[in-house]
Amino acid sequence: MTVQTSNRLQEIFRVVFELPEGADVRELSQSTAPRWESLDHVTLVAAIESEFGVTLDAADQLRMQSYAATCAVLQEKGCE
Amino acid sequence: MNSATQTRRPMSFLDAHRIASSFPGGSPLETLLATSGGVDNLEVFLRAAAAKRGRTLRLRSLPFNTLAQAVRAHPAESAIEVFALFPWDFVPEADWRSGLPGGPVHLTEIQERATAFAKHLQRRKLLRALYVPAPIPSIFHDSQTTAVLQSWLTTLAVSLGAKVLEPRVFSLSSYLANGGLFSAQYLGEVADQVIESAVWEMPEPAKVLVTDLDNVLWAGVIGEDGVDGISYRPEGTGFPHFVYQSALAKLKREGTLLAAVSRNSPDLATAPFLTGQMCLRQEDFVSIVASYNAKSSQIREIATRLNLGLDSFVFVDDNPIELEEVARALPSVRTLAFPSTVDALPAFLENLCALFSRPVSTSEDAERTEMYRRRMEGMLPDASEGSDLTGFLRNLKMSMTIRDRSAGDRSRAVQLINKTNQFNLNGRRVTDDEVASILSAGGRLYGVSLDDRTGSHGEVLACLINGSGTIESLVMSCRIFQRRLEFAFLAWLADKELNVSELEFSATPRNEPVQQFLTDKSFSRTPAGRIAVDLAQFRSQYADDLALFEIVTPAPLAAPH
Repeated sequence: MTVQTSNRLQEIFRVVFELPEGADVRELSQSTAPRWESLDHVTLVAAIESEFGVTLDAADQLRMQSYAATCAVLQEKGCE
Repeated sequence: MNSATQTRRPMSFLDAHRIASSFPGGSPLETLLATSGGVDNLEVFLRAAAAKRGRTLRLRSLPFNTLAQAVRAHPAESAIEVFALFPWDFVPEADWRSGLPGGPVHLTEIQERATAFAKHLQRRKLLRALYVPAPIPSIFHDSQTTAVLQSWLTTLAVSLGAKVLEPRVFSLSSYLANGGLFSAQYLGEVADQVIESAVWEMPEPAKVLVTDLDNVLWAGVIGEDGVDGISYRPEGTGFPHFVYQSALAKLKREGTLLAAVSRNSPDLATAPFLTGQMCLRQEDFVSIVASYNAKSSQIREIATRLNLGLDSFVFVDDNPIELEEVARALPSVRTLAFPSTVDALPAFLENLCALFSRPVSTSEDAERTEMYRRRMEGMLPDASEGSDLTGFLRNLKMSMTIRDRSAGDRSRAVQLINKTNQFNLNGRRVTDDEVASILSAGGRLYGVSLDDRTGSHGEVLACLINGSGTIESLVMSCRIFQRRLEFAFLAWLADKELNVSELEFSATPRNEPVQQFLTDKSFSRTPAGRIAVDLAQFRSQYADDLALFEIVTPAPLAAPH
């Protein structure tokens, strides 16, 4: 994943989970982010789909349980 | 969709976030987005779309799957409602999330229930709705019936006034995965449409269509080509002008006043009408002004004679110079260019008719031209000329027919309340349901018609009084200003045992005539901000005005509530 793609994804995480500017989200997961509830997850999915022009099906959405797992899903979708 | 939209990159989540978070704030836009599914993923896009229009969005949405209940509830007064509708809102059997129905379903039954749902929506005074003709499952035994239902639902939504969006804005994967209705690729586009609907304001329908003659009402220039050289028949170069004339005839039947202006001598301008072969006759026009004055001056002359505000005028001309002259001199007049190609005619006619569209048509609408022509015949003398106004009015032999509209047909009275601007007590618009509710609580609705020696002017005054004796609406057509009808009516009302003591007045930018009326010493302002009136005093003060009219009070059709 390029630095530019990674930066955009990190910014999405900060906006959706209302984290301060510059906060490191690379270690974020559903178990460490108290705000990561079902509604935020829906917003996160839509944000990523609209930002990167990809479609995330139910299986993809279930796998997105951390920032790292989300990176992996996006790479599988061809996002470099 | 135009090519520019197709090639434009859709707004992404981060774009929307940047726009919304950098917006310094504007006037609030309280909006309820009513859908049956989830819209959380749309919120930042909606805030960005509102920010682009200088508004700060205050969004509410419905709990998941509660649209059907919300539609049956009264609309929230403080917020604008925008409905984003899908086929399964009308036909629950077609909801993907419910799976296919267990038993057979019948098209007619489904259509009846869908129509009932639509009627609940129609109760809104101004329905702001979007419709997504999303694919539906095959709920019938054959795919053809499913296609028929899909097409029928789109027609139903359009008949409600809904704007139809592209089916692609719906995402089945999102809907099944998390209840979200819209495809992430099109969230920006959907948000734009929602906010566009929220900020849209219904323009007042125009009343007067002023048309140019040469190369508009007919093909050719009457001053050069002569009566035999111009074309207006349904053939050759005359065809588009024949279609235009027939559209004007339709608008006239629906209540639009037609007028014409021309830079010609009056004889030349009216010569084609004398042939008797045109679709429109001279009598279809309330006024034809032919002179060598500027078109703006001619239009102003018509407005003065009709006593109508220029903002109720639409002007059609083929000449861009004339259109610009009118637009500059009379900025409140709406101008439309007559199309230079036949292919542009349908869009032009659609735009033209939309400017005059009214929700309800009454018998007065069809006779409006005649009534205005009569009004101009019985034009009052100018008081500044020292004429005897009272003598003139007496000579008109006026008759006032006062109908109790508390029972039976009240459509004209309600229409008057909803379309009158100048002599309007408070500018408030009412639905028929609201009027019914006031009447069932002991209120009274009067509709007053005026006749004089020149003929009937139709129902020109409406008065709605609530059960506590407060006049909630009092409106009068500007066609019959200066006839003293408002004074005579209130004097007549004094004899009724309705305990009328107050008027629910609000100043509006356009109700100067009613504000003038309320400066009379019989009226005073109450501490609560209403207007108090002593009708007995009013009656004795304006007995002479009441005496100008023969009073006719037909029995109501049924006993009022």
